Amino acid sequence: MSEARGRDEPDPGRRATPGETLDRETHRWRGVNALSLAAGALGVLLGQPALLLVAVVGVAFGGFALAARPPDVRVELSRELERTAAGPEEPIRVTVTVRNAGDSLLPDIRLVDGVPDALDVVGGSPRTATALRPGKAATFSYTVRAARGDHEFDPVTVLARGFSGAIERETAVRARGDDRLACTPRLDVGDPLPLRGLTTGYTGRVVTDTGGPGTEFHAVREYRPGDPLSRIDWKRAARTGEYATLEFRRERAATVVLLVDTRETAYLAPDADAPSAVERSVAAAGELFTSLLSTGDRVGLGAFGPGAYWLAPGAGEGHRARARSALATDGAFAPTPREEPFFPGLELRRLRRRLPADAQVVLFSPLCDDYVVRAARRLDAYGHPVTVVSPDPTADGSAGETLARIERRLRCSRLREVGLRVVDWRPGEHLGAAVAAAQARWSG
Amino acid sequence: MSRGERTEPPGAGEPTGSTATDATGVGGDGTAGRPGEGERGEPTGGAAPETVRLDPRPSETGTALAGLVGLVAVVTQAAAGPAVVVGGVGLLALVVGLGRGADRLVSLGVLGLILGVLVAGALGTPAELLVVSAAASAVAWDVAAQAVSLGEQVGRAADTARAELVHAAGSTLVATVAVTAAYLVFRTVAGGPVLALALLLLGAILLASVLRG
Repeated sequence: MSEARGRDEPDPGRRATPGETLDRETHRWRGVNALSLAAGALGVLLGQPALLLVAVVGVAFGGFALAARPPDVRVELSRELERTAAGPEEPIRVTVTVRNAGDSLLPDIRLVDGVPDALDVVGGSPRTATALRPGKAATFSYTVRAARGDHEFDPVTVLARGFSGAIERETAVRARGDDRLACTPRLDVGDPLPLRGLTTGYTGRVVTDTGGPGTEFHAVREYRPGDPLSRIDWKRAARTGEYATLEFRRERAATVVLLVDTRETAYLAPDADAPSAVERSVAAAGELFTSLLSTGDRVGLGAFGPGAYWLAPGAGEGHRARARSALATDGAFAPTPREEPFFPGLELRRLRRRLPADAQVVLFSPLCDDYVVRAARRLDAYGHPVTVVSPDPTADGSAGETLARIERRLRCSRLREVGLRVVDWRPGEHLGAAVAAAQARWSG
Repeated sequence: MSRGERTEPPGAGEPTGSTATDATGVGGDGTAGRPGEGERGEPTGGAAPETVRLDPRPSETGTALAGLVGLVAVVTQAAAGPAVVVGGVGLLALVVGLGRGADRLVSLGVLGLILGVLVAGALGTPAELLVVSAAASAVAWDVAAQAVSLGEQVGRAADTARAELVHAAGSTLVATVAVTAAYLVFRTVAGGPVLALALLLLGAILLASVLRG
C-alpha cells in the first residue's frame, strides 16, 4: 500500500522538527478483520446468513482503514501576542490562526502550540483540533502568565489524520507573527544585607574596625597636629588641659560580587508550581544589587553555571540598567536550565582571576549538592569573604525529601562552622526577615 | 481497539525543570481546566490565576456522540433479549470509560457492543436490523477511538467538536455505503449456500492482507 507502511515507524516520543514529516499508523482498527471473520464463522456454524452481512460491514471498515494515506498537510500558522513585552505575572493572551494552504480537505487536524517551558498557561488551551476545508482558517487562543526572561515560542506541532484516522502525519510549523515574549521585572530596592569586613578605600556604609572620621565611637587618642578641630575632645581639654582627639569607626564602601548558582542542580523547587531556587536567587540578587548600589558600594554580578555571565563590579545608573536587563533576559539566568556542559572547576578558576582583590562574594545557592559548598569555602579561603544566601527548595512530603532537607541543613552548618555566613531563606519568607534571623548569630 | 494509538501529547510546556530527590521539577504544563473567558488583558489584581494542566480525558462531545451511536446499536439488538443485555453493558462501559478517560473500559465497551451484535445474530435477528446494529457498533467504535485520541493529544479543555463531528460524519458515510452495498449483494444472492458467502468473505480478507503486505 502506501509508502509509509513500508518504512519503520518513528518513535512515538519523537517530535517533528519544522519541515520534517513523521507518519505513524494509529492501529485504531486493529482487530476489525478478526472480529469480522469471527462473525462470519459464527454465521456459517449457526446457519445465520445475516451474520455474514455483519462481517461484510466489518471488512468494509478494515478496508477503509487499509486504504488510508497520510494527508497532505500544508498549513500556514500565525501567532499573535497581546503584548510582546510584559511585567511578571501579567496574563498575556495568545491567539493562533491556522489556515489550510493546501488544496485538499483536512478532516482532522490537531495543533499544539509551542508554549515556552517557563510560561504557565492560566486560561484556555494551547491545543486545538478542527477540520479545515482548503483556504479556510481557524483560530484558537489561550492565556499565559508572563514570567521573567526572554521567551521564544517553539514551532507549532501539527498532527493530521485522514477520514479513517488510520495514519497520522506529524509535522511542525513555525508560526509567523510574534514568537517572543520578553518579561523584565523592575529591580526593587530591597533590604540591605550586612556585609563582611573587607572594604575598599572609599567611604561607604560598612563600619570597619579602624579609627577615623565617622559616627560610631571608636577610641580616644593623643592629639596630633593637623587633627580637625571638630574632633578634639574639648571637654577633656577644659578639664585637664590636655588635648585628645576622638576617633570614630571608619565607614567604608565594599566591593561585592553577587554570584548566582545557575547550575542545573540549582533549578529546584518544593513543588511544581513554586518558583525555583534560581528564580528566587535572581529576584534576591536584583534587590540586593540596587540596595548595595544605593549605599555606594561597588557591585558586580555573575552566574555560576552554563553560559557564565560576568558583570565586573561598578557603580552608576548605567551599571544598574545592565544588571537589570541581564537578570531579566540573559540566557545564563534563564528560568529553565540550559542544556550545555558546565565545568565547575574551570569556571571557579576563571572566577577567581576575575574577582578584584578586595571583593567579597554573596553567593545565592540552594546548597543542594556538595560541590557548591566546596566552591564557597575555596572562594572564602582565597580571601574573598563569602556570604551565602540560600533559598530553601526542600519539602518534607516523603522520606527522600526529608533526607534532602536534612542534608541541606548539614551543609549550612558545615559552612557556618568554617566561618562563612549563611542566610537560610525559606519559601514564602521575606528575605529581610531571613537576614535578620541569620544576623542574630553573626558577630562582627 | 484504540489501544494502539500511542502518540503522546506533544510537549506544550511539559515540565522541564530538573528533578531531584528533594524537589519537584519546575516549569508549567500546558492545558486548561476551563476556557479562559474574561481573562483578556486584565493585569493580575490580587490572587494570580491558577496554572491549568492538560486534562487528557475525552471531550464531552465525543462521549455524547459515541453514547448516541452506541444506543442505536443496542436498540437495534432489541429483538433478541440476551443480546440487549450484553450490548447494554457494553454501552454503559463505553460511556463511563469515555467520561472518566479510562481507555481499557472504552475498549471493553466496544467489545460488548460487538458481542451484542454477534449474540443478536446468533439468535436470529432479521438481517435489516442486525446490519444496522453492526454498522452503529462500528461507528461507535470509531467515534470512541477518535474521542480517546483527541483527549490524549489535545485534552478535554480544547475545542474539538468540529474535528469529532466531521470524523463521525465521515465514518457514518462509510458505514452507510458499506451497509447498502452489502445488503444489496445479500438480497441478490439470498438463498444461496451460507458457506459460499463465507468463502467469498474470506477471499476478500485474504486479498486485503496480501495487498497490505
